[in-house]
Amino acid sequence: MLQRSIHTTRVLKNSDATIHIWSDFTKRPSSLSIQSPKVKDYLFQKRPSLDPPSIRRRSNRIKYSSPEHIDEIFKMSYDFLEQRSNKFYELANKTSNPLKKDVLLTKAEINNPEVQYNFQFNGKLDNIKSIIDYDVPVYRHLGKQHWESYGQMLLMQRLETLAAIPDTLPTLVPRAEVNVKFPFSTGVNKWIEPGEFLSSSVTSMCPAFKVQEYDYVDVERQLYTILIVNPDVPDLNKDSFKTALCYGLVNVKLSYNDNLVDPRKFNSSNIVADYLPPVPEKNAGKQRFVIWVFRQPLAADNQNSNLLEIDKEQINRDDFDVRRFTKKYSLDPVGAHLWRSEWDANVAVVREKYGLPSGRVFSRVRR
Amino acid sequence: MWNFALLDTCGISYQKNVSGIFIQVRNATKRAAGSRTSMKDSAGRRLGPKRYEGQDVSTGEIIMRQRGTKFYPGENVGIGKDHTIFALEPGVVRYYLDPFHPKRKFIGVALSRDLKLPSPHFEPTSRRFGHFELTNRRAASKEEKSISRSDYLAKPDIIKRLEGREFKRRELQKKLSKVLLEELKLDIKDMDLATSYLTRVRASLKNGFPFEDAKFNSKYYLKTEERLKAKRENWTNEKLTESLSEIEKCSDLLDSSTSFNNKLELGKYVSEQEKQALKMKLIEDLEKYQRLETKKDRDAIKALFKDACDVLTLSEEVHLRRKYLKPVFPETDSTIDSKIGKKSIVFRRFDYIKNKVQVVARSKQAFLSKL
Repeated sequence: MLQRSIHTTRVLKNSDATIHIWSDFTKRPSSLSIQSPKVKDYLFQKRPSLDPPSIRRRSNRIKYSSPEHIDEIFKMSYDFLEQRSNKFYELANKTSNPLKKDVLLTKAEINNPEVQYNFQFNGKLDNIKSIIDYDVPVYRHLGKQHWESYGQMLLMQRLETLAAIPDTLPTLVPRAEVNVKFPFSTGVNKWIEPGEFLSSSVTSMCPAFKVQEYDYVDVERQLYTILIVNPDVPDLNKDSFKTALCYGLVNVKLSYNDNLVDPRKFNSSNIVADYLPPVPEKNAGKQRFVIWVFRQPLAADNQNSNLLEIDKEQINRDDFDVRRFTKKYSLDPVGAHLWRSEWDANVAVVREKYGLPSGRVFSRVRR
Repeated sequence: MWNFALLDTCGISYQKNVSGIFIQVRNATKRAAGSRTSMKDSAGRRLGPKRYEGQDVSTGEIIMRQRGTKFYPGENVGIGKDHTIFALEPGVVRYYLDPFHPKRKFIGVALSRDLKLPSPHFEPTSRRFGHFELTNRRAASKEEKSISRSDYLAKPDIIKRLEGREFKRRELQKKLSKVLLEELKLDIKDMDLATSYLTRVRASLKNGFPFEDAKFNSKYYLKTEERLKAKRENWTNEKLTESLSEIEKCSDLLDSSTSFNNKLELGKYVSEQEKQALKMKLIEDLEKYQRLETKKDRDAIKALFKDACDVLTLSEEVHLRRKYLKPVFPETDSTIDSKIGKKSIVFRRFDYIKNKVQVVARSKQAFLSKL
């Protein structure tokens, strides 16, 4: 019978001579290391016959035995990958192109078991910088893969089926992950799923956005514009709909890790349109509130400021043309999100709070 | 069948001639003859287009009757269970091809005569609102008050729960103000503001916000409410800034003099450094009791944990409690009985290393609850 076996007799080229690049933390960020000493000791078998810490129950830990020869093979593979990673680091040091450098640095760390453990066992959205640090290219790569596997597809499906594209902007090439929550109105700590129906009390105060960039961007100079538009405001003159601007922020500065956009991140100079909460009128149907995140154009040289000067007077909030606005200021849409609102019993309360006139009432039946 | 009298008049005696007459017999089971395909044709089903290209239609008008989907439903058009295509919006009928589905023919309704179908892929869709505004005040208020049956049925329960929450919140605020006045003896001008700030911070903490975020969110909520109130009531700028600074002052005072412990109870302020120092001391004290042997030891440890909720986070406290107040102590020589006595507690378990059942007897010293 054919038996396969991996021979371990070959001695690796004097492995002591190689630099242990994955275990030397003098130059590397600490986020590339596993934080828990227990898990780290087990992974590298500091002492023989350690039990796996991932198994909670003691009896199960005792019962567990790892597959035969797996430890030797792990050690051999680890040494091999570490050696190869060393080469990628050397190449990365030589290149000056930041994009190529990012790719090489990703390749150097992608097979590091500590990095994989950190990414798979920890929160990716509410990341802790000491564990998942998106400044490090490999975590951005893993984060993008994770987003593309579900979140990005869900977002595009919702944008298309709810016709947010092309009703607001023609289309979207998603590059930044956008997440939304409403921490101020009800104090509920929940990220909103794209397309979710929200009650008017939840949306009665401005949302907080989390805009996660995964691509290489010039973090020091790049600024962002965030708009919330509602393309479903009834227009009785045309017997159709018009678009309203609900919220507008410009010149918002983000970084890879510190990217929660709430009122701590900006001041009144960044606001082009104050937050107007969704107050759908009775029988006007469901309204979509589409959040668009744009990268602002960068100035040609470093001296000029990247700040976008927007004339608030020129913005017509009630009949807002997103396409013209983005074209005028040459904004690049990188991310989007949306929620839906409907008339509910609390709308009148929100209207009164914001000093808005009481809403119109439409016929229940369409004519 | 035979008229015998008539036969008689004809000079034919039926009795004589009955055997001479051929009587035909038809049974009920006689098979019908005929062609295999005859009698199968039905009347025409009147299929085909009912409205042609460019014709005006109103909602619900049938545009095409067909067998199968010879034509697919396009924009503003529906399809019935027998594949009948009908208009969903008033407009102009269009027969068209769609480059996204090259093998299909479509029927659609364009909302106006100048629109072409299929509508451009990257342009905003043209939609008809269709509802009209109710200008009659009575009709409008009647319509606004009307709710669906399911909402109507759910309403009393929702209101009851809402009141329950409101009651609980008031109780909590009473409790908080009592703590502020009697325990902490703080000099607070606006008690309502202070308690509403604290309840909000508490709720945010309960919902899992970090402490800094909880504080900011609560403050921002109160300030926004104030700004909206100022806008509604046309306050002057000075009045608004004054009331905002009031909120700022009140929240700063509360932040510097109070803090919530891990059970979300209000207490006096404990700084981060103090917490660390107290935590270290607690762990040091706990280390002294490596082996619990008497009831006194147990009570001493429990006493150490009494104020731990002010110092430790919930997970830290649970962790330490599990470590130092194990319900069953590890199997050491002093807690395992070599002989099964009257007072020893015996249990059997499977030894996976030796592969057989093991009988273990343990003294009462091995259990926290039996010390």
